Amino acid sequence: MPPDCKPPEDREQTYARFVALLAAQERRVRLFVRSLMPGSQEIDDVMQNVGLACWNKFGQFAPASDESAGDEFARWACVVARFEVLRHRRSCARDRLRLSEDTIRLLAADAEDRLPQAERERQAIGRCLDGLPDPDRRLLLSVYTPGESVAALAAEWGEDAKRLYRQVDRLRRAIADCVRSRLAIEAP
Amino acid sequence: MTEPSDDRLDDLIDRLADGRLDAGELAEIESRLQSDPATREAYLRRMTLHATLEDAAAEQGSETMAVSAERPQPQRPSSNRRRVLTAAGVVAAVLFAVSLLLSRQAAAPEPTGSPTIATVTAAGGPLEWTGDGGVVSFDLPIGSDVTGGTINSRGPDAWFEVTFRDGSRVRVLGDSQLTLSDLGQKRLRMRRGRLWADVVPQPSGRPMRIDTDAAIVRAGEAAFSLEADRIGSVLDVTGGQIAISGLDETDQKTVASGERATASLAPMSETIAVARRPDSVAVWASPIARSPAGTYGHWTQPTDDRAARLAAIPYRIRRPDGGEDLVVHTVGFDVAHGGHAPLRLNADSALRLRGEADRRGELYVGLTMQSDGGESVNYQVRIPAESLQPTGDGAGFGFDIRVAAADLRPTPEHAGDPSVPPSVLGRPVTALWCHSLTTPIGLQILAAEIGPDDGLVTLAGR
Repeated sequence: MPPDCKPPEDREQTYARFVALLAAQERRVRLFVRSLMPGSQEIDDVMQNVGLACWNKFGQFAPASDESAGDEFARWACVVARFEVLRHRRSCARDRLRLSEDTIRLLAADAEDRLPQAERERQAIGRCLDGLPDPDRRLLLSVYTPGESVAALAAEWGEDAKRLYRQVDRLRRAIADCVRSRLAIEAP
Repeated sequence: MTEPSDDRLDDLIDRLADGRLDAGELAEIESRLQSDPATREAYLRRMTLHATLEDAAAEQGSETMAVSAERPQPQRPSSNRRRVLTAAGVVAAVLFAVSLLLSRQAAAPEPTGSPTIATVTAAGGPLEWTGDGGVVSFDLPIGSDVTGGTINSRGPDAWFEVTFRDGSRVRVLGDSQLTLSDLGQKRLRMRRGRLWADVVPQPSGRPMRIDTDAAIVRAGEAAFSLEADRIGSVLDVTGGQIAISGLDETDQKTVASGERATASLAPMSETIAVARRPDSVAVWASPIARSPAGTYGHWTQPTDDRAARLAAIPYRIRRPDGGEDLVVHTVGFDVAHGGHAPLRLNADSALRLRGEADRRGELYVGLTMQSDGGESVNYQVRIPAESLQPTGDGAGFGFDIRVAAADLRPTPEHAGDPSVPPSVLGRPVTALWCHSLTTPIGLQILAAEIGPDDGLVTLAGR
């Protein structure tokens, strides 16, 4: 039964359940969407549409158990998100510097299959990042922080910017190696 | 040939994530992603790294911003600009929108004073409009504003056009039923018939959506025609591109300009099939020996001793001089029904009708065509009563009429209109019809055919 067809008291409970699941799993769905829309400035717009589409279809979401509801919601929401990403891709069809629909479909299928793996990687990245010295951590995150930049840090630190860019590449590689090692150790 | 190194792949992915790839590099990484599962795995792993680092940067944003605020803020290039919107922020935004949705769903039905969504910009033939609150109107003058509602165009030559607030136009042609709404997204529901639409760019994520019994069509910016009945839909795209899917939205396909998509509910058929649209044809034959699909009239299936036939039913014609409506008794054929290529006539074309009548009376035979401006225009010729000859058993009258297409002339309501072409030749034909005047004569059509004048020898249904 779709959410809007339920009596008011059921709708309140449904809403509370939806809020809990969305808040808990939004990060995983967002990671999925980002992977299909690299370099896009419109991730937030698509994520809002994904959230609304999930709510509109929430009546169809039927997890096998309460314990598995979170993982199942993430997977279900990613399927919804795939269509929203494709829809968005069509709306900007004239922009050629984007992944094609065929590529997005292939990536989406693989990404849906590796959702648990992506979550393990995400947690491992967090722990590896915690292990970096503060200056390295700030340098690496400066690439992703509005208002920050490698060039600005180079000026602030009196360093050569090109050297810092190479350092950023090395730090990314170091994090990637750290993640591989951690996952290998944690593998059952 | 040496396989590009992983460093090369990582570099491509990093620059893709930063929006710094050129077209050649994008083609390179797309090719690798499409052909190699290991590349896709590496890509997804790398994107997880980027996304997690971006999250970490956002989480420490307040601290970083405090440090940054002590010096002038360098403006990053727009291609690298990223919004500081945390996951919690997006969830809050989504939930706010959902709250609005909830409050709207819980509200009472919309009052009849709902805001108008479109304006009637053209109309012809008998129409029936059911607006918000169930108000039914048969009088929709051009220029009147409409709220959401349902339009029934009732007859082979009826048509109706609305223009939405943003300039998007939708035109309904022939015997059709269409429901319109616009609550931030244009949603249309076509139960039967044909429409033509010219959709201006729609808001991101909210394309015009049209539901039929067999398909869901979404148009962001496009021109197209759509035909629907209970078992299928045919979409012809003439500009832009359109997404179409089956009702469960699993088989979604993109249809580009010049292509045709066919959606079918028939068992053992592909849900959505896309192909190049066929060129125009000059030959058509009615299907009434087998089916009433695409007809206007009362169809009787064949028996051992009687051919299938389509009997005339009443049809109201509004008089252009504002006088009392005229009720004629007509049969009609949607000659484009079923996804046929557009039918265009030439100087050698003719139409042929075979039928019976209970009484002798004059007939009017005509075609409806679409003008360059998209309007429906009727052309006709009068058939004298003497053309109906007594049948051998004396039970009625029979006729076998052949009319040259070049002899058809615009109907009286188009008299003096310089925009109406004097001839139907060379233009897409949408309907063929035949009617008696106000007095019913028991008109029944057994077969109808359009083609080259010397080629009308195998009349369907004989």
